[in-house]
Formats: sequence, C-alpha cells, structure tokens
Amino acid sequence: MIDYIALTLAHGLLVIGLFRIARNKELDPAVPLPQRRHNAPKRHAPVSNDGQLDAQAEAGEAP
Amino acid sequence: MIDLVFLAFIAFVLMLGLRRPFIWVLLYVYIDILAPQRIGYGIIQSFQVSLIAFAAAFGGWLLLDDKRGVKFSVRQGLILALLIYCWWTTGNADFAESAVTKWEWVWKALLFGIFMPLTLTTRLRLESLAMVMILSVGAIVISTGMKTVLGGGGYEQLKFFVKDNSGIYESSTLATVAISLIPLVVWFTQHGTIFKPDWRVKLFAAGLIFSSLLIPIGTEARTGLLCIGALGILLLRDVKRRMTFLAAGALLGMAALPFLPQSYYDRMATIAEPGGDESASTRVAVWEWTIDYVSQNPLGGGFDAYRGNSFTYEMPVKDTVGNTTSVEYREVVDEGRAYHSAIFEMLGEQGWPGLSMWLLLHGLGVWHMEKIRSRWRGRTEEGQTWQAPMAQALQIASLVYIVGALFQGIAFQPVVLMIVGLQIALYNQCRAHDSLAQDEERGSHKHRGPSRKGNRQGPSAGPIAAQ
Repeated sequence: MIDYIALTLAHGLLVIGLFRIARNKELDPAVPLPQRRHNAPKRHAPVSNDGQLDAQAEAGEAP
Repeated sequence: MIDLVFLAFIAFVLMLGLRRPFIWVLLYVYIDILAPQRIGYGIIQSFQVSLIAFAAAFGGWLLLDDKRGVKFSVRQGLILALLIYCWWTTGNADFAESAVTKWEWVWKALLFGIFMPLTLTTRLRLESLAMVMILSVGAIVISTGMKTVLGGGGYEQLKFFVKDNSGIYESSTLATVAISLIPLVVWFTQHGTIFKPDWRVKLFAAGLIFSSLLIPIGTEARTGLLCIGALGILLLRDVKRRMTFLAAGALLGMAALPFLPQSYYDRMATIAEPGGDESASTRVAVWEWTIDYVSQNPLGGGFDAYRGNSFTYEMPVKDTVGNTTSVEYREVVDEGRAYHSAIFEMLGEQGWPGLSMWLLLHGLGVWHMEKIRSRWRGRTEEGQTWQAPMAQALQIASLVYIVGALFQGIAFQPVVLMIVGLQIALYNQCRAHDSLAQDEERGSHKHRGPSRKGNRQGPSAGPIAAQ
C-alpha cells in the first residue's frame, strides 16, 4: 500500500512536470547556448532592458 | 496492473517526446533510476524499455534536436577514456565471466554520462533533468521514509520496490544518493521554474528531505549516517547563522534518539569499533589485500577482481549467559569479499590509471563547481542568480557521494554519473555565458573605452540570462 502511495505521488508530479516542460517553447527548437561573437549578432553596446542604449549607441548619442 | 500503469506512463512520455525529443532523455533517466521493468512482474518485463528509451533519447538528439552550443568537455573526455580503459581491462580480466556481467551495465552508465551533457544546453533542460532525477529517487525515498515512520525498518529488513539488493535498491547506496540530492531539492525551493517555489513545493521538499534523512535510520546503513554528518559539515560553509544551525541540528538529533531502536545503536556503534562486525572487519582486510594485489597488477584485474581474494582474520564473538558476557576471538576465513569502497574498487579493478581518471573526474567536478560559486555568487541580475546555488548543490552532492563511496563499491553508480553530467552542463553553460560577456565587453571597449572594470554583474545579454 505504502509503495503505491509513493509511486502515485512521484508519478503524479512527474506527469505534471513533464507536461509543463513539453509545453515550454524553449525546447522547440532548443535555445542554444550563448554563441561566441563570430556567431552572435553584432552588438556595439551592452544590451539594456529596453534596447534604448543600443539604439542610442548605434546612433552615436551619449546614453 | 502496476505493469500497465508503468507502460502507460512510458507511452505518455514517449508521446510527449514526439513534440520535444529532449523528453526522451528524461525518460531514460527515469527508467535508469527507478527501473520500472524490475518493479513490475508481468508484461513490462517483456519490453526492453531501457533500450527503447536510450534509442529514442540518442536518436532524437541526433536527428531532431538543435545542436548549436554543444560542447565536448575535458570531463566527458575523461569519462570516454575511462570507458575505453574499462573495455580493455574487461578483455584482460581475472574473472572474465563476471567482468563481462558488470561491463554490461557500466558501459551504458558511462556512455550516458558522456552523452547527457550534450543535450543539456539550457537552464530548462538542466532543471528538467534534476527534477526527473529527484522525483525518480524520490519515489523510492518516500516509500522508504513512510515505512520507517510506520515501524518497518531494520538492517536488511526494509523492503524496497525491487528486492535484489542491487544498484540504487541497496540500502547504503540509496542512503548516499538520497542524502547527496538534498541540496538540489533545496535549490528547487528557491530557484525552480517548472514548479514555482510556493508553499506546496516547500512542503513537498521538506517531506522529501525528512524521508531522505530517515533512510539511514530505516535501513540502519552506517554509511548514510556518515553522509548526513558530511552534509551537515558542508552546509556550515554557507548557512548564515552557524551557531543556530549547529544547535538546531543537535536538538533534532537529540529529539530523535528516544525513537531509535536498540538495533540501530548497536549497528552504529560498529562505526567506531569496526572489529566487532564482520562487514566492517572484512573491509580493512579487503583493502589491505587490494593494495597488495595492485602492487603486483598496477593496471588492475578487471571488473570483479575481488573474487580472487581470500584472507583469515580474528573477529570478537560475544556470548551472553545471564549477566555475564564473554568475548571470544574466533578465526574467520573469508573469500571473494567485495571491495566496500569505490576507491579500492577502482584500484583493484582498473589499477592506478583507472583510479587516477576516476579521482580526476570527481576532483575536477568539485573544482569547477567552486569556480562557478565564486564567479557567480555576487551576481544579482535577473537570470544570473540560480547558477551559484546550483553549483553549490552539485558540489555538495559530489562531496557527500565521495564520503559515501569511501565505504561502498559504487564507483559507477548511474545516478552519480548523472550528477557529473549536470555539473559538466552547468559549467559549459556558465563558461559560454562568461565567454560571450567577455567578447561583448571587448567590443564595447572599442567603442566606449574602458569603463566596466570590476563589474561582477556581467551583461544581461545571452539566452542563459534571459531564461
């Protein structure tokens, strides 16, 4: 009986967890590791939260 | 009936994998740890579920998965070297037949240890694998903990799902693995994303940790007690209030004492007095034999070389009549005793080259996790706070395992090779992130001049930070 309780609990959580993992779009396709610069998109300034710094840097303005 | 439930679950996961092939890797981890084909006793035994899961995991990765960012690390190279070396020693083993039997599962565990990090390229994947590991071990741990609470414990008395005393279903091995995973369980209560760390996750984690701590009590596995001690000492490094932690630990231990059976005290007493117990006595004799053996066979004798040992030693036998207890030393002849230590297992079976590779593999893991801890510890940016705690959890897992492995022949335990795989993947991800950060910094220096020296925050760019 105890074995069945433990197995049910663990498998219940596995089903929920796996279902959540499967729904995550990150796995399809997998987000790759951060690529080195020669592979990555060219950037000239650190990325800011809203991309404003990038735009300013691109335009030659002081942030 | 239970066979059908297991088969339905496996079929469900295989179906999920059609959308996300990585899930087949998780399925293999689940099958390798829990071994549902050994729990069931009917139709499930006619399916090669482990082979199906491995073929799906490897084939899915090879044919369907994204392989950008995949890196073959030094430690994977070490596992590969160990695999090749083990293959060679198996071909030259002292006991060819039993060596081949062990080789049949060892090569799979080592191969999966090499393959697994190739698939763990993101945080979600790392977390998924850790979750499946914890829940698969957790099923055994919860059952064992409940039986212990309800009074079903005792040395070689507690019944697991599988009753053949092998692999993770051996009491000391289970105690070591369960206790080594405790820090990873704690990590999920703070940084988990699959299950958000709310009160339910914390409640489950508390129950799981409690069950894990009960395993050395329920099974009377002495190694488990040593692992709890090692875990407590290692945790002292990071707890904020050390004195409170020590006092709480002592208080908990004292509170538990009245509930422990006399047989537990008797068995634990043999830790300090190994001469009083056959299992403990033979360890020292086997270790001495192994050192002698390897001095003549420095390249090892292949798997199960211990079968050639034979020794005589004296063991005290207590005889109690009324109020009088007499101790008589009797000569005991023993043959083919197992190593009872992963160090001596590696030394006897794989010789100095194998032991060196094994020590280097685990030593590098501890060192790599230390590097991540120190480099990522102060980071506060979103997406950069989980790496240092995970490195800490995996480092403690390794160290607790090594303490446990000093007294058990578990050098190739598959769960431990999975922990090694997690370490490799985390180290690769963190290195790749830092490498990108450095590249970006160099790029920004060209445009803005030096300005960010000493900044430990690192840039927020990169998928690892965005996850």
